[in-house]
Amino acid sequence: MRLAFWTVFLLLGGISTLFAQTWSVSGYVTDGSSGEALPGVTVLAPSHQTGAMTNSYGYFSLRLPADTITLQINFGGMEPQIHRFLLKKDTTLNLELNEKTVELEGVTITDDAKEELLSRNQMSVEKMSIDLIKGIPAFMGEVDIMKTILLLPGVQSGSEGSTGLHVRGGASDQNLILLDGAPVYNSSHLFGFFSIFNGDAVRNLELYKGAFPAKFGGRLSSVLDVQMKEGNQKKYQLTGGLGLISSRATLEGPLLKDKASFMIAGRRTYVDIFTRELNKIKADKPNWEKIPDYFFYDLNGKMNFELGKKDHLYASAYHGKDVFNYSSGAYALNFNWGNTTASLRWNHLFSDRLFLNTTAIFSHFNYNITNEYTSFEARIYSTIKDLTLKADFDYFPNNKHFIRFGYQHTYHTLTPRSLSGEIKNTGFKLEAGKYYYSHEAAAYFSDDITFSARSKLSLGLRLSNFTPKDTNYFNPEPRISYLYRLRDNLSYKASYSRMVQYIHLVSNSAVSLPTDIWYPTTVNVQPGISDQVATGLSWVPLDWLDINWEAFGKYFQHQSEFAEGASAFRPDELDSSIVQGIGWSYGSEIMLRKRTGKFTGWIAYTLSWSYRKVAELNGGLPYPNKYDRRHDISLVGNYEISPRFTVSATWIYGTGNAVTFAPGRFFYLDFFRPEPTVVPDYIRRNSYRMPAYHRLDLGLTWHIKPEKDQHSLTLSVYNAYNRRNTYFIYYDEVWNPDGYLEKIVARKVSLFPILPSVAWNFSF
Amino acid sequence: MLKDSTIKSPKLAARSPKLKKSSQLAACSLWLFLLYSCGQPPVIDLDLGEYENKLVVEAYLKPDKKARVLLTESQSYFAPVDFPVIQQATVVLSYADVTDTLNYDPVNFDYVGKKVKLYYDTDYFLRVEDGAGRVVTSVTHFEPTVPIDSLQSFNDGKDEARIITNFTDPAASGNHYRITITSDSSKNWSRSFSDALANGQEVAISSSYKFPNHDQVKVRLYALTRAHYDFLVSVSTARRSAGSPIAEPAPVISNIEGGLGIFTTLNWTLDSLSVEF
Repeated sequence: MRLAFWTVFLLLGGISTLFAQTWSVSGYVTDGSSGEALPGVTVLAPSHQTGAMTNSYGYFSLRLPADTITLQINFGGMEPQIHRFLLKKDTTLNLELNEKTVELEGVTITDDAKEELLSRNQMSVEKMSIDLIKGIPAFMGEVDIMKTILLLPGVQSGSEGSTGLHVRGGASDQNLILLDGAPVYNSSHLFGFFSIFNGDAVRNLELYKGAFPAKFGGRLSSVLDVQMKEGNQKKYQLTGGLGLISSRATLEGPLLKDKASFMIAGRRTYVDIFTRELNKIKADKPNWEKIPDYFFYDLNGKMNFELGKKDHLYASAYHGKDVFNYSSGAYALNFNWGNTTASLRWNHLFSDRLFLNTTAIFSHFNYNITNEYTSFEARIYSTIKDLTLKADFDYFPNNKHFIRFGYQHTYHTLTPRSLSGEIKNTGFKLEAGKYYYSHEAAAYFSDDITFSARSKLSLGLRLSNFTPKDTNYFNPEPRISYLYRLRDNLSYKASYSRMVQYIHLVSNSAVSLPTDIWYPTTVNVQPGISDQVATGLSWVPLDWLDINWEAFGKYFQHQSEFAEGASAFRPDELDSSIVQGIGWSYGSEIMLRKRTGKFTGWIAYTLSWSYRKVAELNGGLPYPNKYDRRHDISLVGNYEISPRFTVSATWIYGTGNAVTFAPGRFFYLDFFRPEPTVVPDYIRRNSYRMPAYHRLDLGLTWHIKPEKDQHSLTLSVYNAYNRRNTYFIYYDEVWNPDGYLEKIVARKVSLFPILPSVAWNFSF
Repeated sequence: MLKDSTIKSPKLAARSPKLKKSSQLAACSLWLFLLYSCGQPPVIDLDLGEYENKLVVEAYLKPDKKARVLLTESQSYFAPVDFPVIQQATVVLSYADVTDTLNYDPVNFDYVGKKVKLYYDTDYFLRVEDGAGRVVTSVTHFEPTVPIDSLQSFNDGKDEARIITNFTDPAASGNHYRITITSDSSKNWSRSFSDALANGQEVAISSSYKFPNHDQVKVRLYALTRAHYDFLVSVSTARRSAGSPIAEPAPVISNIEGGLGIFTTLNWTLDSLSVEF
């Protein structure tokens, strides 16, 4: 395979020299105010009908003939630049872009966004800047990138308040969530109500729902690539905020001006401080039920160093934890869980055509539950530890090809679930659980081929390999996407991609919990596979409006579920507790978006179906996925009333989740205590629907010093019209005072009524 | 057995599924907090569609005891509450060279037959046909008993003691147990478990603290069939999932072909202890 790579590599490199003498124009594009690299900047040479886009590290490379060259550099929110020069040798052009200071009346869609939408053959991708995310009303005042992603077409939430993503019919574990390249196994706090991403520490993100670049793999349904801020290279800056449930602070600045910078950020909730005091005050009350202690925190850090004209070094790390403590009399429970990630990246330019990114990655997730009850002690824990080394090459042989290739190797260590227990005075001790060690490796190659200004093809192949004990899995994962520009303002796109997942989350709970089990592929548990086709149109009918429509179809193999009646608390039997089946989903998404001007926002609509079929479940019949959602609508609007005030609103609507209710019941007596117990008779899985969900959120931001944008006060109203959405429905047995079971009724539980909140954000 | 065809059981409410999984305790605490902070959830109309009632069998064969089979039927969840005993049915138990047709006992609301002979490695068949033409069948067997090695009581400074039952699990895996404790003080306790975590080892199972000083306790260690154990676990899971947003609903695992319930055997060893501290 490697031979094939190099053959193509050399061939393409050679072809470029056969034509007229060309020279390279390459360099880095950075933010002029902070010195941070800017990915996704378009660099166009209109007179030569060619262009390039900066990669994840802000690097671009073009080959142009010896001539007078005019380059247009565009990036949303930045002042466009035009550079005119005579090209007669290889030229390095490092550019700094500055923020737009004045928004013109009747502004048109920015050229780069329009151009990217129409000319990039990467479809099914959504990009978001942190500024956009901060402009959207936030739940309890907490800026949350995961909840903003849920407003995009094709992305659905699990349940109210949850940050779990379900992309195009996929499960919540089928999203590869990367933080500076490091996989994050649990992306939420408080059982999904908040994400682990501190908005102040994040620079931007990309979500791939299909047409996956060959460099990504390991999950079936999406890739969420989150990049942390690099740190301001120009000046020291302290930003942060005080909210109702948490506070946060970020410090960044130069270590060496224009050469090195750092960023550290922290966030912590403080509800536990109040509940602890309340418990103390109420301790003497006989009926006082002690409120458990709960808090979470996040720490982010990053440093980057420019080691010369050809080398950059980045070091970044994240650590976050949720801690839950409860004690009552002789009973004590401690439950904590969290992620730690670290990545060390080295960028090296071998030449103006060959860019290398080498990364060493550490990712760790664990949870730990300890129980003590007088003489009984028990511990349940789980860990996942990944060590990864990867090398990613970007090669720019000529303007017709953009080649990416690389290799990555991960060593996984998993303890899906381990139990230990002891009863004092008895000598009884218990240990159960297994360690799993495995290697996951992948090599990939892709070529973005530009046939003409109207026609582009991207071909990619990823070869993945997983080696658990006693077996070996090898899977080719082809990727292909095509773009044809029908008109200047209309493009057609199509793609096919196969993804393979070797580590699965299996759960016997109805919501995502940190205690759900990550389980590796084994001899008996096959790797999950998804094949997705997508097609779509990108259209810019008006200067201020762009429309993106896509239709997709996905077929899943080896979808893992817990067998009916299987217990997740028998860690030695997990292999036989998991059953696998197939799944399929299909649908259509459309997004109408206004990106610029005083009013910005979008309308997103998704029509989709998602099913699974597992021989051992539901009598072997197909059943709707829990998050099969026929209609999903998001309206997002943001209006700048004046430089001091901005208002925003979001409205979402979704068909109710598929849910399992028992249509019947029977009485069970038991031989030991013959008293009737009502037992539900479940028949068909997910055969009922919750009521439709809809909600309006509002936000008002007051920029206290708009000319410097130093401080702002944000008022958010969650669920503004107080819709009592159904969180779950349960059966309630109603007993009369004589101890007779009178009747059984259904009750509806709603979580959040109208919730106003306020947050103060500062920047010094 | 039942003395009335109307459900009357003050203790039933106390038998709501308990949170045995610590990992779910934290999550449940959260939603319970949210639940109670919002007041009593409103009653809603829930359209469950048509439901076809099924025969429900509950039968425990005991050595040298008369065979008894309780026959009821399942109902739509929101149907008026009554105890739907099926009285006009043909219930036949067969094993070895025995074929026993059970008769309905209007006093205890169940079907009663001859004394059951204990045979190991022999299948016991049940066939039930009701007046409406519904037929259910099942099969079970006796599991060999496991002796109790010893009993201990500890109060650990409390006013009541817990009982520890010690026994040795046989080397072969796949054993399932239930311990029941009855006492003169009418404090009862029960727990079902498998040998999945301690196969072939000495096992100590502790009760909760509930037995007063000088109490006389009787401890039975039942050797359960796999079907019985699966039924007990799945009943518990099904009940828990009916009232929780966290538990994934799962059907009851029944060994009654064509219906619901459990047809099984009970075989046990017995030991007793005087609680002294």
